[in-house]
Amino acid sequence: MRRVEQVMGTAVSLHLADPLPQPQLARLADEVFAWLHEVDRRFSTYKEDSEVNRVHRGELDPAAGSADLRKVLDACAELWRTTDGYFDAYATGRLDPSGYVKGWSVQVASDRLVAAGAGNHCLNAGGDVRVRGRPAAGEEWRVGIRHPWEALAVCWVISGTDLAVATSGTYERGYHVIDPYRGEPATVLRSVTVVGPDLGLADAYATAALAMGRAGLDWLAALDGYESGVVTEDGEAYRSPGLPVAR
Amino acid sequence: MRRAVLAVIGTVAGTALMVGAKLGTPRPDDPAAATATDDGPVSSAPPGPAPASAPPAAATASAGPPAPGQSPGRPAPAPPPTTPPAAGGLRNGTFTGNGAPARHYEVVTVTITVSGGRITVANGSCGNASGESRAICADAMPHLQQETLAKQNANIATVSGATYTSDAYVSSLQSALDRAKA
Repeated sequence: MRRVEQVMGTAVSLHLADPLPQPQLARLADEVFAWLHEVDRRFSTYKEDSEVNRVHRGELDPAAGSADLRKVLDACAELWRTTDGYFDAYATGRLDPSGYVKGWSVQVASDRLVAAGAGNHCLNAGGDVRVRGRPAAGEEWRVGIRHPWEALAVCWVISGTDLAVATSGTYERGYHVIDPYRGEPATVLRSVTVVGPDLGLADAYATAALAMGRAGLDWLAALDGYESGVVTEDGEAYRSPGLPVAR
Repeated sequence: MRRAVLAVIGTVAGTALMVGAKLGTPRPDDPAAATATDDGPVSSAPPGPAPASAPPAAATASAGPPAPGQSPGRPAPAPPPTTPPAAGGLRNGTFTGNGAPARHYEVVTVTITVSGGRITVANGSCGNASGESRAICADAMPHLQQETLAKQNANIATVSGATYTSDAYVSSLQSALDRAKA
């Protein structure tokens, strides 16, 4: 069963590969999209009455917010430390945890699918991908990493049975990632892809490395448990040796 | 053209454990590219331009802009699939997806033609876009159409990347695919 919906300002596609009865698959898909819509309502900076905007306006004490809100804010604070301040939920001058929330919410949805007995699936939210299990017996999920100059090409194909893949790039939305130390857009790296067990972290790491510029290469290389592929604005491609490139 | 050049370039100073190559290289199922990027950790390689390991074949691709279907960065054109294509199980016919809202380009609608169980034609239209949006959309659309065919050939389940116009395209394509499977 495949389904695509527009959520969080982007296209989200879900592929459930388990041979479960149709009504059960439909219910699981309903739950995935209901969760993502709920996350959008609560965490979007574009929705006036989202929890994030209420915290931003000082109307809601984070400590009094929902468990998910506290979890997200705690994770952002921890990421600020582990990325030397380059992942900054306040980089734009206001609270905006979007760089973590999209990946995190997809990871949660994927975890819930596994718990519900649908351990073979692919969930892609605007380029942030979580794959689990297999698309068919004996096959691995193959995930293309978009070529940052050619929309029709991929620059790597990676494959596996349990992967979170997040890409942060400047090629479609322009230089939108801010280097929090300079307060200016990061322009040295063209795209950063991070692959590992947790999509929220992979998403945030990719954004942080993009903000770091060339120093992000060293920072990514030292990351434990997360592999990476980087394309610079100069057209150089780097990847960590452990990136699961498809054979 | 810089990104069409295939050459291993070693590493920037101090970058440990990252394998470097000139982009255009990582055609995943090109054995030459695999060799170029699989020499192991760069820390073991001498700094500066890499020696003779640049595959000569790719040098021929460096002249001029990449022609459609021949870019070195593209997934291999129709590799002999070892597994059924991802788009398998489709009924023959022509199927039009739902119009999907795109941020700058009004509505994107995708129509696919299925023949022998495979997508043979994918057409996108830019709906009510006008002026500059129309021009941008018209420019993007052929690329996206080819991507549909390329993805099918490469048997890729999905693509990670910063998305934009393609969101709407993928959304409409998916609904066309669902109709073809129904």
